[in-house]
This record gives sequence, C-alpha cells and structure tokens, in this order.
Amino acid sequence: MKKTQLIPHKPAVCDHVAPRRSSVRLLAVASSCAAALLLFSLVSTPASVFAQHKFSKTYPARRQVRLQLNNRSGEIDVVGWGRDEIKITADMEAPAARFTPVLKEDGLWIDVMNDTRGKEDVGDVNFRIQVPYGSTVDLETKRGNITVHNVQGAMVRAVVTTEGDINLTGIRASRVMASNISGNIFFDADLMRGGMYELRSTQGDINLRINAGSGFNLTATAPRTRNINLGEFAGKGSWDFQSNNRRVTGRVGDGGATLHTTNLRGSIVFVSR
Amino acid sequence: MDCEKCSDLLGNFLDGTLDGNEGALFSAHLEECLGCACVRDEIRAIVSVAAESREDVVAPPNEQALWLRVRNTIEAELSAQQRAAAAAASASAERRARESFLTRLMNKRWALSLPQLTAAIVAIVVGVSVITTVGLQRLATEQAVKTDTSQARGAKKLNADQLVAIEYLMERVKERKGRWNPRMREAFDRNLGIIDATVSDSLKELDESPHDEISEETLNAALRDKMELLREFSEL
Repeated sequence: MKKTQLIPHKPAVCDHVAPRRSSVRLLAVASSCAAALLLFSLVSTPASVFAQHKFSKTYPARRQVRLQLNNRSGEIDVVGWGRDEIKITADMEAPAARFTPVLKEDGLWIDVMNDTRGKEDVGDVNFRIQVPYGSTVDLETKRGNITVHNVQGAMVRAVVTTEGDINLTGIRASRVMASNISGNIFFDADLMRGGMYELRSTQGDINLRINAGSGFNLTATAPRTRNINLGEFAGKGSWDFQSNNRRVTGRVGDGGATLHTTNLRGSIVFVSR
Repeated sequence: MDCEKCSDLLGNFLDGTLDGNEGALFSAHLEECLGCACVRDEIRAIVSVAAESREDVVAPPNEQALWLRVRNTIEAELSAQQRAAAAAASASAERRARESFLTRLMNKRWALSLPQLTAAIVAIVVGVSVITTVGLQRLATEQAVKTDTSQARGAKKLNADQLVAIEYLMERVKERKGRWNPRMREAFDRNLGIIDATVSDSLKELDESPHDEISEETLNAALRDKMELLREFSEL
C-alpha cells in the first residue's frame, strides 16, 4: 500500500503578507492624495482669508471723523479715545468672512455686507473699534449687540435689524438714533439743546438715564404694556397721559431737546442722574 | 175747455161716464181741436181692439200665485237696484279715500283773508327753511362719512400694497434662507414672529376701536418693520 506523503501546506504566510503590503501601498497613495489636495487648497485659497481671521489695523483720523460700519452678524463695540486715530480689531468666526476698510476723505467705511455678498456662511464678525471722541458713528448689524461708549460727535446711530442689545453710554451728541426688534436699549447721555433723540424697539426694554437738569420735549409710546415710567422726571415736567396711558407727551425744563421713544411691546423707564 | 182738460176727461169719455155738461164741452173741444180728436180716435181704436180680443185671454189657473210671483220678481229687482246703488256709493267713497290730500286740497276752493294768507306764507317759509337746514346737515354728515370711508379705503389700499410687497419679499427670503448661518435663520424667524404678533395685536385692537390712532400707528410701524426686515434679509 502506497503511503501518501502529506506536504505541509504553508500558503498562510503568503496570504497574510500580500494584503498587508497592498494596504500599506493604499495608505501611501491616500496620504499622497491628501497631501496634494491640502497643498492645492493652500495654494488656491486667497491669503486674505487667513489674514482676516483676526484683523487689527490703525488708521489716522481727524478729530471729527465719521465711522460707518455695516456688519452682517456679530458684536460691535465702539469706544471713544483721545487719539486722532481709528483702531479696528475684528475677530472673524468663519473663513468666508472678510472686509476691507475704506479710508475716505470724511471717514472710514467698513461694509461687511457688501464684501461678503454671495458667501454662504460668513458667521459672526466681532468688532472692537476705537475712535476719536468727536467722531460721528453710524453702525448697523443684522444680528448682535452694539455698544457705543464715550462718543461725543455730531451723530450716533445704532441699528440692529433683528435682535441685539444696544448700549449707548457717555454719549454727548446732538443726534442719536437707536433701534432694534428685540433686545434692550440703554441710553445714558446728556441731552443737548436743539438735539434730536430717537429710540425705538419692538420688544425689549428701553431704559434712559438722563441728566436731571436736562430740558426736553418727550413723546413716549408703549402701546402694548402701557409701562412708561417717568421716574423723577414725573415731578419735573408737565405731562399728558394719552389713550389710556399708552402715550405720554410733555415737557421738562426749557424743552430744548426733542426725545421720541417707542416700544411696541416693551417698557420705557426713565432714570435721572 | 183746453187740451189738458180734454186729455184728463178722455178716459171717462171712452168709458161713457161723462155727465151731460162735461160731455158737451168735451165734444165741442174735439170738434175744434184736430189733435185731441186724433188722440180720441186712436184710443178708441185700441180700446175696441182690446175689447174684441178679451175673449181670447185665458185666465190664470191660480191668480193669487201669479201675483205672488210678480211681487217677488218686483221685490228682487228692487233689491238688486238697492245693492247696485250701495256698491256704487261704496266705490265712490273708496275713490274719495284714495284721492291724495294734495288733490283734495287742490280741488278745494280757498278763500283766505289777508292775515290767513300772511300766516300761510310765513308757515311755508319756515317749513322750507327747516327742510333746507336739515337737508344740508344730512348732506354734510354724508360727506363726512364718505370722507371717512375713503380714508379707510386708502388705508386699506396702502395695507394691501404693503401686503403685496411683503409677499414678494417673503418669496425672495425663502429662496435665500437655506444659505444663511443657522443662528441668523433662527434670529430672523424669531423676530419676524415678534413683528407678526405685533401686527396681529394691532389688528385686533383696531377691530375693537377702528379709529384708535395709536393702534393704527403701531400697525403701520410694525408693517414698516416687517418690510424693512424682509428687504434686508432678501439681500443676504
């Protein structure tokens, strides 16, 4: 009887080695592709995106310069300082965010809306801007808080198209306008003779802190809440409460300034200082 | 004897009941008057015919019943005549009642003294003045109402125009909304809701007091805010 010789079967070694080599090769190819892609994207992406991820620049300015800022979304913080310069610092949340400040004869113009037109996700752009005390400041944003402090130029305008608090403190301007849909408005200012002041919100609270010696003509309207609190000014002026206290008109002192404030669904509170 | 007396005595003459004197006078008149003589001849002929045909007349079987029927017929005719007369009187009264006051007044004869005439003229003048005054007041009221209505229509038209613009902007916003940052989308929706609630509240208040000035102002302000919000976001 012929014995059958059994040959040991060793394909296992070859079977294991071959896939390991191919996967290593695949990994190498993938890595090369990724590196090439990264390199391509680095080359093709504008340098400005990275340059504006954080933006900081100082511009020379006159004492009574105008700052015009039209933001898309994010906070705006403007502070007056004693230098004849405008310093802009901005944090940009998304790579698509960009802006190019334009220095004109009458001031500095920043238009994020225009510079990011057509971009899908721009994210927030948060500004901190220092301006000379005597600046005129005109600020707009679709969403986000606006703070203006220690500005004493001809005009301060702060508009939030949707939601965001507006804080105007240490203001000494003859024309002030502030409006939002939701969010509080805090106005702490000296009212100037002949000045015009207009504060308007749809929902939120409007708080005014005014120098006790100020003279002004007031029209305050709060149709929904009827909550118009004149504080100490209640005893200082002659008031006419109209339409079931939904509107108050009256005069304090010489009535030199004109103050209009409307809050469609919130309160209006006066505090003297 | 004259013709009249002759006519009265003609019946007696034909019956033969005239006395001698009357008969002589009657005959003398007939000889002189051809007309009365002709009448006598004609009546005599009739009487003679009637006397000859008397034999042909059949007496009724029940004379009393015949007379009763005759009487009933006569009474029925009389009552019909009375009813017709009553109906005519009633129609006449009705016609008179239907006649207007003015017709009766015009048909009436007036004979006024000077004081009465003066009083009437004064009354007419006062009446015309009162009617004119009342008419002018009513006209003024109607014009005021028309003005109010046209103002309301104007306001409604303005709102309708705004609503058309809002609808257009809403469509544009809907097209672009998908590209916005989620936080921006949420902020937009939330604030649009606040404005819509304000519009709704104002409309309710205007339903309750349509001429409330502050509610109208609030409504217009909210609609302006809505348009502004949509306009700005339709460009994003």
